[in-house]
Amino acid sequence: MRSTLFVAAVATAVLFRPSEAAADGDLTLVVPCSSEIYAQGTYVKGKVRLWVGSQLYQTEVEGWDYVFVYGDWGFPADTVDRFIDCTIENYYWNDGWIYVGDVGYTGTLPHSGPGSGTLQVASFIQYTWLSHPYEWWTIYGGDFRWFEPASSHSRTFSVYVVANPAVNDNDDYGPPGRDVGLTTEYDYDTSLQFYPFGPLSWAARDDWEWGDPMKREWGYADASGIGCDSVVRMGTTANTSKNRVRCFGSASNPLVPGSPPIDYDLTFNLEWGLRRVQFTVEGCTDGFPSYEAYLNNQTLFNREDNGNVLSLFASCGEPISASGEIQ
Amino acid sequence: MQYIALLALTVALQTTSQARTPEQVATNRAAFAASTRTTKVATLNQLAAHRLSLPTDDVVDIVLAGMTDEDDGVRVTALGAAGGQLAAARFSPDAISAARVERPIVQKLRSPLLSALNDRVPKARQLATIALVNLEYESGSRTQEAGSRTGAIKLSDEVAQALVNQYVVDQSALVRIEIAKTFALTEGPAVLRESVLERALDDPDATVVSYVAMGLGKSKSANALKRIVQLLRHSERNVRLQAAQALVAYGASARPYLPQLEEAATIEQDPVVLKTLRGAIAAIQ
Repeated sequence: MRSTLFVAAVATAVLFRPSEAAADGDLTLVVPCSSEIYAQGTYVKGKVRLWVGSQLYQTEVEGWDYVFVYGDWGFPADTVDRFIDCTIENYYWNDGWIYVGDVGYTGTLPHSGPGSGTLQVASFIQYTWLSHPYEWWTIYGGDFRWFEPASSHSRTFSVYVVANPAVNDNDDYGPPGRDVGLTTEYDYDTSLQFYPFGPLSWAARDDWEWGDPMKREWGYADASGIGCDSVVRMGTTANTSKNRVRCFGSASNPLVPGSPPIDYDLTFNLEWGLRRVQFTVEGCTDGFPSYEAYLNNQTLFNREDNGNVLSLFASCGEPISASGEIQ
Repeated sequence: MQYIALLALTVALQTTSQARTPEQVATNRAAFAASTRTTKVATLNQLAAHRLSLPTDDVVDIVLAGMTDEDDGVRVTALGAAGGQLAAARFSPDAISAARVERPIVQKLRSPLLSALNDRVPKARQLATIALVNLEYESGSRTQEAGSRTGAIKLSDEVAQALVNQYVVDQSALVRIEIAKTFALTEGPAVLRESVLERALDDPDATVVSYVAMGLGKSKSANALKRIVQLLRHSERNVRLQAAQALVAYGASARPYLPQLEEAATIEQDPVVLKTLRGAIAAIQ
């Protein structure tokens, strides 16, 4: 009976080539699904290999026997967080490889989504400069941009490459990066291209001599309050694997005494699978300046400032709630 | 046609108002005390950003109640609200007149803010420092004369001494940074200011040291000149950046150290610091 099933499966099966699948960022492991996976297995014989991400697992089986996908390979405990494709149920052995039998698969196995996601969170001042409403003779350089991923002009910036838990043993690709933009203080009378209006002049921007006229002083805010917590694996659903990242930031203008910090605290819930990443973002920002977040350069949320510097005194007073999916 | 447009506008306004659910806020101390944590935080955040208009007595009562709340997050938010209220005169022209009239009431915050420097939460101590700086501005001790462009916040002896005391004992870099920044960017009792800045030259936190360079440069402290030159070799870019600017502030006194500036420029890798070093050399020569 078993032989008959194997023959039938050969007619529709395709060889699962782990290296190609890994290069494509797709799922590289296919085993029977469910959290009861320990009790399941498949009949195999000989030298059997399975790839999980870039990690090769192999075992020797003498004669036809059941192989338990955890016990026989010694998978790490966090393998339970992996997305398991439940649609494929026929396995058989041939030439030392596991074949996956099903109609419609063409060499790589779909569903797991991108292998990783580059998470960017930034705050920026969209204007070319901001004036102090009372000390009108002093102005501060802005970032002069609209929402865009990977911009080099931001007040605060953090980036974290998060691994797809379905296909990776690791949770990330290195620690979160962080940076702050250069804060610049200018003299209003001598720094505008079309005084008393207009953008900052090139001469003012390129003035690196401390003091009046034009650019008076400059410095970097303390970046130690910017970062992301470690990725937390959140388990699986029938078709997806989930993880969670919290990113936060707090940094203030280094040239103004008593200046309140830019604050944000955001939790990103990512659900990887079905060739996409579904996300929710929950948390808060200040009402000023503008804030943005991206995953693989696709928008998670954009929040325009309310134009009120006083809102920086609120402790992360603007709620953020967003959801969607990226392909 | 006009009716259709009016109807469309009415519908749009109704839709907008339905989509935005107003947050629950407390409007007096009793209501605040009986509120949930969420309502307390929402109230204080709206007060911080001046989005909730209440009589000043109620504002002060609510902020004071928040500053003594058992919940760390409520206390932190209350200290932000205190800063926001006190900063009105600096950051919001519309509020200047009102803030001056109400100064005696707002001064009720001074003593609790000084006490908050001892809060167990570093973020609370940082925000207390920020609020105190803005209170000093509000209290009229600013040195700027009408029409002058040399304005600065002048710390009172009481606040300056409290900040020095806190700097000496505080284990949190977050708080020490805020205090160093305050002394770097404000005026105040010269002896206290110089002593705390010179002491902070040895702070383990690089951001503190960068503010020290900034502050000592502005006061042209002769004692610190050689130490600031040494900071040109610091591992952190912002320390080197501030050291170079500080030397320009020293003016002719820094001319003997041109070789050190030029040497620093030859090995500098950071483009902004390099431009700053070149600018400093040009200015001092």
